[in-house]
Amino acid sequence: MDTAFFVVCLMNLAFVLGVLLNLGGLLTWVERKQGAVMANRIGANRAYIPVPVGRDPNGAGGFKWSKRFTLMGLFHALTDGIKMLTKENFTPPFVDKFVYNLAVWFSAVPVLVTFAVVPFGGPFQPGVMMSEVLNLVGLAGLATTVGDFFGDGVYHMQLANLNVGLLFVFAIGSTGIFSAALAGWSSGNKFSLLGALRSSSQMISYEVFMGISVLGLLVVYGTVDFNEMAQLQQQTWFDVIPKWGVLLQPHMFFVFMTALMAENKRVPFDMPEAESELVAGYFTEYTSMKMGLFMMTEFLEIAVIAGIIVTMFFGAYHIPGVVAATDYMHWAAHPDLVPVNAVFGHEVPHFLVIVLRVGAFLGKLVFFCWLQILIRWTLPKFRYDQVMKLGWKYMLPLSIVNVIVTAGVVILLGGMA
Amino acid sequence: MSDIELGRNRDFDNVIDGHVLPQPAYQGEFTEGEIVKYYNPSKMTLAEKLYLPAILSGLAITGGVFWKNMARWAVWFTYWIRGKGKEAPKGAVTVYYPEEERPDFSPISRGKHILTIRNQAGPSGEALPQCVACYMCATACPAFCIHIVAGESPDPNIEKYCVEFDIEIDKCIFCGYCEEACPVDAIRLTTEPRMADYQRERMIYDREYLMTWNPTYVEDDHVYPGGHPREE
Repeated sequence: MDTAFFVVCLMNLAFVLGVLLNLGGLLTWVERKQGAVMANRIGANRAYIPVPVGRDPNGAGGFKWSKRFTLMGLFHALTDGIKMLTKENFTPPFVDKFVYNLAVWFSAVPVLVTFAVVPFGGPFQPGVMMSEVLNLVGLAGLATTVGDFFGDGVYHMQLANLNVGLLFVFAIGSTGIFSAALAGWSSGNKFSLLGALRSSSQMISYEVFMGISVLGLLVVYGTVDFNEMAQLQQQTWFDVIPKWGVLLQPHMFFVFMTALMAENKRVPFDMPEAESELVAGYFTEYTSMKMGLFMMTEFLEIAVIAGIIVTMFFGAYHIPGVVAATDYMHWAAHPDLVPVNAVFGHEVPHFLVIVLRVGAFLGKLVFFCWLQILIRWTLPKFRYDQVMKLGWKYMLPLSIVNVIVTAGVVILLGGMA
Repeated sequence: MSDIELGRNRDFDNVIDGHVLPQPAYQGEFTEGEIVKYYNPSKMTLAEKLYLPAILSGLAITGGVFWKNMARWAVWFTYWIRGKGKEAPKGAVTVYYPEEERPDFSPISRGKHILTIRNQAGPSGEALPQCVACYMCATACPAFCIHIVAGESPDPNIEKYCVEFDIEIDKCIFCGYCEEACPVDAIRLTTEPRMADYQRERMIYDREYLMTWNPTYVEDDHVYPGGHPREE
């Protein structure tokens, strides 16, 4: 492994963790504020940072903490964190301590790891990009050094360039079931146990057709590699309409999104938690940051779900008709290929293309986070039998029929659709 | 003997198996022997049964409300940045409660009580309540939360006044019967809604507190009309 590759990996890691963890924190605020705006309310606005300005008008002397910076309630995310970290970390005496603590890790880690295979900006040349930026700000000497260090090497804006992409997502994502199941079993609480049972059956039911629903798309793409999927979605019909997954398999977009949202265990699929029935479901017996990790996982998973959906169905980092297509396939075979940096057909600096691509990906990501929270505040909770009926009797047969029909069509057309 | 005298109630004659049959609105609405359906049969269309169109239309409604409110907040922001945020219309129907009050807060809403004060001060210069200790408010009170101790007024022209006048505000149901009952307009209910406190003892409003309603108290840009906060 050469040094440049290692540095690029660290840069990717910093970017992904920075975006993901901050998004997870911000989404707690978005959840409150968006729900408030949708209901004609103001929403979170009380947490503030006091700033001493002026004297106490009542003459008591000393500074008066009168100015309150609430910043639209953004500090609520901060106070949540402080509250979770400083509350008593109580472990009930009747729990199975090893499994009880293990479940927390099974909750947070798979979600973070899943995002590793999501490509957020396509292939890029860090040397070219950085020296362009440094030349722009007038650091020509540093630009040369950086350019020499990275060279013309092409790297991927992705943490782990795995050719099993989607399979990795399914494999790691499935371990999330352990978190709910183990938390419920080890808690020694009937409510937790019921929550664990519900989450196990719900998540396993929805994982069955979650895989099958995208099989049709995999047949069309002919690959499970997220990079190649992103590449293939840059093709167009008649040079106008992009071949996005949502246009290839629109019905499966709804099925796949339903499955992913059921995996996330949020309203309308919050059977395992069900405040009105099971206190807090499988994490009833958890306190302080252990409970906070379960909550944070749900918000992180919103971002991860959005990332997977954007990559598979909405053209990943591609802006159709604006930025020229990347040439990932060719790059894989010819690493020394010169990339095309064009916006509206005009030659532009490499860093501008990268900024546009990453911006497009983040924009799509934020939109799908918004959509999931919109769904959470709109749809009422399903009854338990309705969840099972929806999964097994409608979604699963629909997915299987879709695989057969899609495969037949692809064979008839003799290759890719 | 009539039905009433016999204790019969003919109102329940048409009750069959616990269900009240609907009475015909006009002669001939129901034909005799017809089985009357008194529930609404389910009329779900195919789109509703599929559930997905219903979800999408629901999301369109809530999303529409969201973006409409966001547009209103954007307009509000243009006012706020010029320092006119307080008057500008917001994208919400709620308000930042203790700092702000709704402009449509009803002027006839019933809140904290006050005791009105006589124009003429007493012989030693103290404020005298209008109250003549007739006990009519305490008698009218359905929650029994008014407690009066009558005494001889220091003013020789007035016979009685209240030595003590306690209202247990945590028991008060804000019916306003006391001010209706009062013959001398001594007790009134203001619109002041802020009565929350941390100590139960402070929920008993004594005579002195009920009489200190008039200057409007301002602190930290928050206006507390109609009363002064009690000393700790």
